[in-house]
Parts: sequence; structure tokens; C-alpha cells
Amino acid sequence: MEIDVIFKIAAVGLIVTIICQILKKSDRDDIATIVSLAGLVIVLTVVLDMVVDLFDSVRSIFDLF
Amino acid sequence: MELARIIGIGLVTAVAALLLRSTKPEIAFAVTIAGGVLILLFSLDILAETFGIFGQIGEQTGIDLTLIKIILKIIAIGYLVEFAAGIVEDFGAKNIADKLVFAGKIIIFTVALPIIQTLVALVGSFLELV
Repeated sequence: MEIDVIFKIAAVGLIVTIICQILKKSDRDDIATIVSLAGLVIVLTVVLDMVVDLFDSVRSIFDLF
Repeated sequence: MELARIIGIGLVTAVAALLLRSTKPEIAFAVTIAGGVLILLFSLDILAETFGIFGQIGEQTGIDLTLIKIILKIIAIGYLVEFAAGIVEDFGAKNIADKLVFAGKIIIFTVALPIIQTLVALVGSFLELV
């Protein structure tokens, strides 16, 4: 749970943008949207894991519900 | 040292979000959430060290543990609501963020009711003594 998570997400974002640009130039726009959706799903799952981690640590430290 | 790391994370997140904002705004939004979570996790570790003091205060002053637990719960609620409201506001839905903060206040009030009851009981017992 270090700063490399942010670098990974930024890297995924950049890669997805590059791929979308290439696909758009070779007029395959439908695949471009699918690729950007896939990138978004990957990023959101990583972020979701971090949020779950945050909520678990808050629950354990404050021994809440 | 801890602060330097948190500031570093904040700056890196801002730069990454800025980089991605022009082409992929939703991934930039995910980067800001991840940065926010990281900063909160680090500050949570710092906060966790202070909880021993809460226990000592409870023992020394004889306040029973339930009140200390309520104080901790209020801190936790404030922590989570601030996190969620910040993200929703970042997303652009300012009024939903305000509603979240408002709901957080209501929950804190309902959690803090026992404290008010003990206060009233305490004052009542003083008055009977006089």
C-alpha cells in the first residue's frame, strides 16, 4: 500500500489513451471505446480494493460496528 | 518524515490527475480517489498511536469506557464522512456532498446522545445533593 499504486493507475491511464488514439486513427472507433471501458474497469477495481482496505483499517482501529 | 511522504503523495496524485484529465477524465478521477485513500491510510496510522492516551485518560479520570468509545466513534464518523464528501465534491456533485456532511452530523448527534444523558443525570445528582 505505497505510492506505486498511483503510478500503476496513471500508467494504465496513459496506455489506454495511447491505444485509443491508435485505434481511432485506424478508424476502429468501436474497439477504442471497448478498450477505454476495459481500462476504466481495471482502474476502478484497483481503487475499490484500496477503499475496502481503508474501511477495514478504520473499522479495526476504531473497533466500530 | 511522515508528513513529507504524505505531501509527496498529494503532489504526485495532483500531477497524475492533471496529466490524465485532458484525455481520460474518469481515470483521472480514479487517481484522485486512490491518492485520497492513501493519504487517509497514512494519517490513520499516525492517529492510531494516540488511542493509548484515550485509554489512560479513561483510567485516570474514572470516565467509564463507553463514553471514550463514543468519542472514538464520532472521530471515525467524521473521518469517513469527510472522505466521502470530498470525493463526491471532486466528482462535481456539490449538493450531494453537502447532504453527506449533513447526514454525518445527524449520525454524530444520535451517537452522542448517551453523553448528553449522562451529563443530565450528573447535573441532576448534583442538584439533589445541594
